[in-house]
Amino acid sequence: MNVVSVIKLYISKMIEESGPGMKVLLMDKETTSIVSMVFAQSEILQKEVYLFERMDMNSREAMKHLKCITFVRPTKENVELLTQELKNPRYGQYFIYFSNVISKADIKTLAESDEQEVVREVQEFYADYIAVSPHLFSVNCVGCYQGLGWNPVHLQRSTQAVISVLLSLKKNPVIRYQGSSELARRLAENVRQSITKEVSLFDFRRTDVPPLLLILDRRGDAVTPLLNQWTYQAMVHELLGINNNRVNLADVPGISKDLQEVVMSAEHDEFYANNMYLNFGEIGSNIKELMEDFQKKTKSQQKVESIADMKAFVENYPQFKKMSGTVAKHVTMVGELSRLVASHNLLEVSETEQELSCQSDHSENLKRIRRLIGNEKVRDIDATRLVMLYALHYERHSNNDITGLVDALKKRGVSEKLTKMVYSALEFGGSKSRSYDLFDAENVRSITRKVIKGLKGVENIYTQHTPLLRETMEDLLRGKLKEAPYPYLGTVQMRERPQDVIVFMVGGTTYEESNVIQELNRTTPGVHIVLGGTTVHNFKSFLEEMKSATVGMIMKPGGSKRVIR
Amino acid sequence: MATFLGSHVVEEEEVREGLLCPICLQDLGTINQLQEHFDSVHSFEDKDVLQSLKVFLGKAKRKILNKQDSLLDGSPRSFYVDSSEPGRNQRNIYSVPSEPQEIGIITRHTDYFKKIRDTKVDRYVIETNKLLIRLDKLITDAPVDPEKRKVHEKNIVPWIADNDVKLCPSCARTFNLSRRRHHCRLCGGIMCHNCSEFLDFHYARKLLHPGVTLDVTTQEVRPTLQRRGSSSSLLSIVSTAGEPHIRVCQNCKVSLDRRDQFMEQKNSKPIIVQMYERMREHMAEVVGLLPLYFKMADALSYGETSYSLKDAQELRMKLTKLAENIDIISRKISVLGTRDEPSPSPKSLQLQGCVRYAASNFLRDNILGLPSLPSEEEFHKLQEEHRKEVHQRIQQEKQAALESRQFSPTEDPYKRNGNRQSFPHTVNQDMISVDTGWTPDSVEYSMSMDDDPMVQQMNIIRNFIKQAREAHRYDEVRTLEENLTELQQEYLKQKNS
Ligand SMILES: [Zn+2]
Ligand SMILES: [Zn+2]
Ligand SMILES: [Zn+2]
Repeated sequence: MNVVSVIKLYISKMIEESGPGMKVLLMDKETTSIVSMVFAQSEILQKEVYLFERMDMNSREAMKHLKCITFVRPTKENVELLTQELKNPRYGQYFIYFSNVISKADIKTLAESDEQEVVREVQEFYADYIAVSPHLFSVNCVGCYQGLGWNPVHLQRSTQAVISVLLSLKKNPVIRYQGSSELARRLAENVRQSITKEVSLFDFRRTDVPPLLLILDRRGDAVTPLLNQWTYQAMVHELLGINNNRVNLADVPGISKDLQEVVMSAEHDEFYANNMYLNFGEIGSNIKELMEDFQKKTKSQQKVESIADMKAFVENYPQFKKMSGTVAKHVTMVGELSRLVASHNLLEVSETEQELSCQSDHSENLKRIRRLIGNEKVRDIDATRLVMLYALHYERHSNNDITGLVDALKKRGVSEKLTKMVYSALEFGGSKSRSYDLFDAENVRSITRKVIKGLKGVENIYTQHTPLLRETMEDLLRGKLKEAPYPYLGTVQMRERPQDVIVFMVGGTTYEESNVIQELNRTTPGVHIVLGGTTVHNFKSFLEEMKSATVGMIMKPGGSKRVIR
Repeated sequence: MATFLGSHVVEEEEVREGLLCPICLQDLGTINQLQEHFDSVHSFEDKDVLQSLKVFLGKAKRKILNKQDSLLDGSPRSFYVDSSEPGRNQRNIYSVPSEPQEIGIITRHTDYFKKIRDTKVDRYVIETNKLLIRLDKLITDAPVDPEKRKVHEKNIVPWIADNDVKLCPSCARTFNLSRRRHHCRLCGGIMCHNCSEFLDFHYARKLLHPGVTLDVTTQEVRPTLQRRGSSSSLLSIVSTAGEPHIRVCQNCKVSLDRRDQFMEQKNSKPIIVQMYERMREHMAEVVGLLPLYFKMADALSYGETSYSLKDAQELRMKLTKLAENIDIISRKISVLGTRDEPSPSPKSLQLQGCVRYAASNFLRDNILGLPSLPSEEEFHKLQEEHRKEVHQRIQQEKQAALESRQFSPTEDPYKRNGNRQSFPHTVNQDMISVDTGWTPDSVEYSMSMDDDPMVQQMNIIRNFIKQAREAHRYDEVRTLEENLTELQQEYLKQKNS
């Protein structure tokens, strides 16, 4: 199960089907993201695709000598735009691929508008999700909660994405969901309905152990997306933000022009592929190796005197070129991360975060948070996330001082918009929305982990926390995930330990959780897990998510709430 | 490996670890000195690379990566990197290897789509064809006299009675003395003068004979009109009757225009497409020849004689020539039409630019790293070395064989190989082609019948070799040459016996 590969296969196939000749790829906003996540432009150029057009940004210039590969989502707007396009075609031939199920009625409309007979193919290729890593996909939508229920648009989109994942990977799964979550249940039911409706599509060869779809809700673990991260990919996303594999560095002081936006794609960048899951310390030393390699090449470049030198240089040229680009990019990236870590005092912030998520020394925790709120170097958002973690941890503690800490934030000058989010976080992820006592469990786990780490000689206080997902998955793989909190949908049950698992997190997943899944895939023979989420969060996007979930409610200290009328 | 920052300087010259300047490799000892060195010595050099290195080095002082440093800047505790941790190297796996991913489900609607489209399109194709047949009749053998001509026209297409139509169907105005009724010669319908269209004879002829410039093989399977030539009679209408036009209604005109556009598009091939196709052919040829060249260059560099140096040189020339052509064509494509008025649209220019960009990528990936061939002299040397090596190995093997078991020294090594013994009498033509489908053309048997059959056979093979060489099929050349040698040996053996 590799979602990146399967999307690449789909896209390669649609390009190949059109045969030789110059091609244009016509897409919508979403399919553009889907394609750009898995292919570099130069790769697509080698497949004779020279132009990229957006369906919704119509230039009317005709180029009849091009073949048009149309890859769009089967939305009403797209069908309409395509109907117009076919009535007055700009290109000589059309090969049309919808990213999901399209109705017969829509096909009929399109067929009737193709009077010039330019259409050669009409097919469904189920590449209707963003493949972030081989084991990670996203629907790229933030704000899927609307109050306590689903935003209906996002529910439909998420259903389509999950269906598409199942069809692309050829899985007809047994479905389980987080019982405490209305949203998880709704999505599970919608997926089941779609499968029943398209039953002929889901007619796969039976496997001994059926695949499993597990649907979870972010509200079961609101702690993970609050934490600062220390593995490369997660850290870049937390501090700089990764958007469709692109990182904006325009705000980095003294940045050179060609590095203002960089692509971080493990598919096309070996260094990144090898380091994305490593922690920051390890990357530092790997960067050093990379630079040493670069040094050697730089040196040989300077010594180009004899013809033999030149030959050697030219023969190395493609790699050299590629490598120097990589060096500059990662050196800049790591440099910027270090700058941010130092200037915002992130080490101490993170250490406190970790203690808040894994230990229970109330007075000590409180003292440290107060001290950090008073520290000028600490960013407002970091001060706020500490208070959020505190609130979630000590919500039920008799002597908690959530109000006092929020006042301290206000005194510091933190905007009301942000301080209010402390109560939103409580509403979103407080103990009543959890089926699981996050912090008690964390305690136990972190202690065992510490012992193990201590034995290995690697104690890392910044990565003590493990997401709840790890425990859930470990239980699941052992066949020990309890049925009451995670019921089956329908009457089908599984006796066997699952092997192929698709986990979907309503409300968004995180790169920390992606690491967990990657690690499980690597260490558990015979098991393949793919993780998906409505989005992949960092702290900032998670704030948006919590806001949309709690909008219209005023939270009072102590967790009582009333709905504004 | 020494840790990156604050590491101790290693004394030995050849190890070169420590805080080296990435540009001049001077060892600076401390991060502060390195940064100063950077600012003073290299501040005027290549901006981009330096900038990024500088940023990194500047921040490195506040690094969080290393034990010693955290002690220096007093940060609480820090990451401890233990590179000896077991499994560390396996941790950095982006993708956990598993069985190769197969493509997912595909649903094809093309047939359904075409069925619907055909029922709709067929209707108007039939309609258009009817119009074309009428058009052909109208301009064939048309009488010169206007009155007779009108009768002729009415015979072909019955006209709608004037009284049945009170308003012009396209502009909805009433007919009167100043707005008179006119008939469409193709459908017989009525319209006013303003709403009439006129087909001139050039256009009519083009519609009726699209095949004049048409490549038969690309013609769509579609009822096309086949009629005897009528251009002469068409001309006669024009020249004698003085009316070069045929009056038609707007609907009929639209149908015919659509037909015309369709045929036009089928038959025209813009210059950029012609150039592009030529370039792609060259690329395909390069891709086809490259593996062979690599094999040859590799063998020659070891002094092996399985390929001739001359053949390899020729192939290299050929590849270089192809690359040159690709370069020239793609360059021409990139500037196509830029000197014309009006200059190409931004979109065309983008297309042209991308084609050029892809071509230079292609050349960089395939031609730039082409391994070089040894010179004649070098090759002789390599050959000599290789021969010695082989000789040595054979000697060693013989020695080993002698030592390991009792060996009958009289046995001819070739005799043990029955295959080889019997082989030369017939050349198996099958083995020449299979993998990529090349076969020599059948050879003309021009030799006299009283030639020795073996001589005949050898001549055939020589001919094959020539053809194979011309087709750059050097693997076949090699096989054939082996055959020839064996045949010659056999021939000599027979002669002498
Ligand atoms: Zn220097
Ligand atoms: Zn009119
Ligand atoms: Zn008419």
